[in-house]
Amino acid sequence: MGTAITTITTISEAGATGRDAFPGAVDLVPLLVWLSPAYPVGSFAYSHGLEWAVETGDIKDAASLRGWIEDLLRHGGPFADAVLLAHAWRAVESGRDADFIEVAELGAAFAPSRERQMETLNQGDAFLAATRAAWPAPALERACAAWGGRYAYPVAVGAAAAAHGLPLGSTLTGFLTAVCANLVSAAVRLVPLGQADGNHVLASAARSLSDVALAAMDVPLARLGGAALRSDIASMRHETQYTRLFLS
Amino acid sequence: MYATELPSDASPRSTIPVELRAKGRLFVEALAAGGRTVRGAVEEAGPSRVRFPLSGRRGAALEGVLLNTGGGFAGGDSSHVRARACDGAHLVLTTQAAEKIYRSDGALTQLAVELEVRAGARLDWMPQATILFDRARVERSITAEVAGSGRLLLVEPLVLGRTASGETLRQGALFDSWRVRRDGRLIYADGLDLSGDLAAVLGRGAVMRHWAALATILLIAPDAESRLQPVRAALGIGEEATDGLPDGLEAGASAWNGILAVRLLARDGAGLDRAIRRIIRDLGVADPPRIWHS
Repeated sequence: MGTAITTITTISEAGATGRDAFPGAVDLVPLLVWLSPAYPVGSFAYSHGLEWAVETGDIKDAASLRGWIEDLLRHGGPFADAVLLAHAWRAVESGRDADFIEVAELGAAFAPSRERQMETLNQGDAFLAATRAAWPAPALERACAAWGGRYAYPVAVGAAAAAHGLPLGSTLTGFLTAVCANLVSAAVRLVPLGQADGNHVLASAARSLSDVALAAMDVPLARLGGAALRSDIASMRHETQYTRLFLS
Repeated sequence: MYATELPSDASPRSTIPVELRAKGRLFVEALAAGGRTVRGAVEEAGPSRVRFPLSGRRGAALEGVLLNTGGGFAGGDSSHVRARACDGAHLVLTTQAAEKIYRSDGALTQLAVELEVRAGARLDWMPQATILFDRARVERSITAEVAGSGRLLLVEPLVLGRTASGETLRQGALFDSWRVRRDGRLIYADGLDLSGDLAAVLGRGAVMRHWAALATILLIAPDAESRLQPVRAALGIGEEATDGLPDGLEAGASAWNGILAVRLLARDGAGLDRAIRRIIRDLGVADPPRIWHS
């Protein structure tokens, strides 16, 4: 845990993209762009099974939404994604192609349902295509040359961030923030909730993100896992949901 | 109802010496021979045994029944089962009884299953439920190598606590890792990580909402996706939340890329067992092993 904490607290001192308008500060602009809803990844189309959880009444108000998101962050897909992101980041940062192939292969196979696999692979492939085109980096090309398959979304983000010298801690919390914001946005439309409620839930979830990122950094790939079985079932049930706005 | 008192409940055991820990090792190989399947190499060590009862010889399949003569696993015990269905063979493996994993004083119970399905072969891995006692600490890994023309069925029921006597899992740990490769390529990976304050974690809405029994059923087969509709129908899965699932059961099924996956959550082991039998019946690739009927 000690090394992980060091990683996060030294973000402000690490060099990142080589720009020096603000000496000593990390330029997080690439992350803000990549993880914004405007980046051509299509995140808005996926609910991670949340649409079914609204159908069953598991999510019916701000409090239950907050609980569901907390479960996903601690035990669900987003936690496993954070673990995958950290491993992809380290593999690219250190130039270990074999490690990158291992995490890329595992990320592509680690899905409990058809829609969950589609959700992560479609976003991962779209993210990499957009990033390789507009934000090219030699280390990213090298990683892509090593792994010829499809990309889980967190693997793609971790690889791009490492290739651009962005710190792991900020990449993890940024990624998890985007995931939470997307879930809240889906719930605001589906429940429906007011924008103020959505804002409160996101602010509350955001306070967990550093803890979640620190915990995820410590998990070896062999221990990749979770316990959000009802979220897995929700994604399966979503496949036959009669009325649906989302692809997952 | 009262919990059955077992020696492991009453006495806070000191650490079991390494030399007393059970180390089960088993290897089973099945060979196709003239339209039937016969046993090939079999290796047994420690408390692990396999028997091939005559009642299990149906059709072209060979049914093996695994026994743990140790009668359950304690902390520090381990079991390593390897099974191989050679070209064209059909091997069915089950267990003689539900496997119990006792309360641990800290040491892990380590279970490993390695399955290999060669060209045109079929392997049905259908153990009876594994029951975790409160404070059990278990690490399990299930790995499989499947030829593209082979078929693998995995049915793995887990019951958290002795539900018949009202026990729930409040402490302990379970890490269950699944990796399936087809023609050398990883196609399915899963990890169940239950640890920490289990009484709280298991109650979470997106986790298990206090339900105690779970199962994952996985079919790897060229025609796996065509079996999805029968499985959904067997479970009563429809388009609405108010569909035909029985009380005390939650279930989902999905299929993609030659994989059919089912997740089941049930209030107790009995409800889980009923759902599994319905799925196996309508999946149409295997019969419940004979020993399940006893």
